[in-house]
Amino acid sequence: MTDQAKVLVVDDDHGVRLSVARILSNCGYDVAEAEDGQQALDQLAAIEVDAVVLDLKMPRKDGIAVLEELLPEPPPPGVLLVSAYDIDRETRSRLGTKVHKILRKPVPPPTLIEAVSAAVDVARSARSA
Amino acid sequence: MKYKRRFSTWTAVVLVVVSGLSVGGWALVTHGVDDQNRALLENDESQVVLLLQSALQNVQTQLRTVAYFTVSAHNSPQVFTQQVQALATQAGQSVALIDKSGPAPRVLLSTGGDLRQDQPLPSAVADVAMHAAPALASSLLHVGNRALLALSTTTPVYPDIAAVETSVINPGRAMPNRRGPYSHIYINLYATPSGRPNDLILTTFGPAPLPPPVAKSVVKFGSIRWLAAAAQRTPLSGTYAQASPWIALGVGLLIAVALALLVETLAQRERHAARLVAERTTELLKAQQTLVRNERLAAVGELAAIVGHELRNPLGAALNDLFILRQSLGDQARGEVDEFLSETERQVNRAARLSEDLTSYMREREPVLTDLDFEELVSEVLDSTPPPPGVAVSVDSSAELEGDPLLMTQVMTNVIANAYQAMTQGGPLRLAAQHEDHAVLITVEDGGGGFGADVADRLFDPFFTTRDDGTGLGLAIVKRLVELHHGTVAIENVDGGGARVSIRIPRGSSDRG
Repeated sequence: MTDQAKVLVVDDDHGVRLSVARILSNCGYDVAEAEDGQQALDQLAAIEVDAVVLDLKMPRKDGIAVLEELLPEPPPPGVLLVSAYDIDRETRSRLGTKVHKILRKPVPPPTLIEAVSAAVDVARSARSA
Repeated sequence: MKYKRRFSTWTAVVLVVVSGLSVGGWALVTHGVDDQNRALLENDESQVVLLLQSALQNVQTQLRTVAYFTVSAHNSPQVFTQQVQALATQAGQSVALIDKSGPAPRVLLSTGGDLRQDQPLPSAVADVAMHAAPALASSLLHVGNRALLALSTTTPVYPDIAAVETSVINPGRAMPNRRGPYSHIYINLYATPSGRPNDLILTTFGPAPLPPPVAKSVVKFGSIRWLAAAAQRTPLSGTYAQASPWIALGVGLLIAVALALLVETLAQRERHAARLVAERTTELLKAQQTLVRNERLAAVGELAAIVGHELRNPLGAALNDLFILRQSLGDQARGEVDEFLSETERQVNRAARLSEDLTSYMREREPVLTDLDFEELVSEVLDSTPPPPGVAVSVDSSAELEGDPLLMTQVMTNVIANAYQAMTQGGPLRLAAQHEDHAVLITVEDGGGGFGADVADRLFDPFFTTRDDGTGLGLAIVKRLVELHHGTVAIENVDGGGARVSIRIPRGSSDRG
């Protein structure tokens, strides 16, 4: 890839966060990590990322809260919301286009890689537009 | 409710015992009243005897007086007539003074029609006269067609002069005694102590035997031995005393019936209460069993959901780590290493499926209802869960049901997967859906071996499985999800082997054109 895409992995579970980060870095992404929603927002304010792998249920701010605070400008990263729970229709429609895709835990690695790649593409094309 | 009406044993016992007591009371009182009547009768009869004795005393005294004064006055007819006037007061009575010193009796003076100076004495009367003694004697005589009662005596001063009185009697006819102190009893008087009918002197009853009870005693005076017999004309103890046994019996029987009714009412109430208690107890037991079962299932479900959630992160991490490991090993993952790695991946994936099932079991969201075409629903499921070799699936339906697409997909996936697992030998799998009133009935009939009767109740319980590799959650999830749709699910064996799952999903819960 021309210039290295940057992905933020947000998960309070150490094992999951570490393994996801490793898989993505093995795939050539520049990976940043955050343990909770607040850290994620801090990182997003500091650096520009192309995609976010966002866990739904976390201490301090959860995934939904992070998405609600995410500003539309500059064009946001492609967000993959990962959840062990069902997300009801109402929440889905409220999140709207802020979420690129919802994945159910546990996510098989090939599915994750494919989804991150797609999210990065979408975010980049939005920025270049 | 079928309700057989039958009298209780206690009712019969009470009825019989109290009725028996009433009859016993009746007998006792009757006996007492009879005793009282008899005592009163004996008392009256003894008074009658005393009266008779007194009358006989009078007759003796007067006959002696007639004899004494008349003979003392040299057989003066005037004196005789004067003396006799006090004695002979009734028609049919005759009095005579008879000299018995000779070989044949000779009438000195007489009055009345039966003992005349100028006529020979009837032989019976002559016999009485010849045997006269100071002690008053009596004889019952038949002269012609008449019956006579003869009384005779002598005075100590003139022992050869017999004073004889005869009275015409009519023993076949009852003497009236409707008035007077003894009008309440019948009296028969006999000339002998034995009281034979032929010896009857007088009766106030008639020729027939006296009605029982009869009081008898012998009237003794001089050489007279008469028999007086008495019977009651009306109950001597009075009508109330006479009625009292019947009153006692009537009241007793009324009490018996009343008590029996009371006992029967109580017995029926008790039976009713006992039946109610039994019914309620059964209902309560059933309700309690259901409650306990539901609570257990709820607890299991909650635990399942928690475990399911909590397993997701470690399983996800493990899958990721295996992926990284395989990447790192690259070409080195060969032979045994590859085998173990593959087996680990398989086991972790299996654990992930279990975790998914556990979460599905407690999926707590309201179904979002839309119209679903059964054929489309089934074809999606068959795409993701294709039949194993040997299983021939047939779909017979054009029915539309109302359900949540995701939840109903899971329902059909689980039921169909369950059927596949039962059909180890292959065979036909028939899927059908048809409209029933306000519902759609989905049936999934497999060609497997069916299930044992002993497990029928538990097939929908979570973690119940007859297979080694099953999680026991497939049908439990089906039941939960169907119930979220307010539907029902049942499983039964079909003729010729195999099982049929019937799922009824109601329609018309929402109005959409």
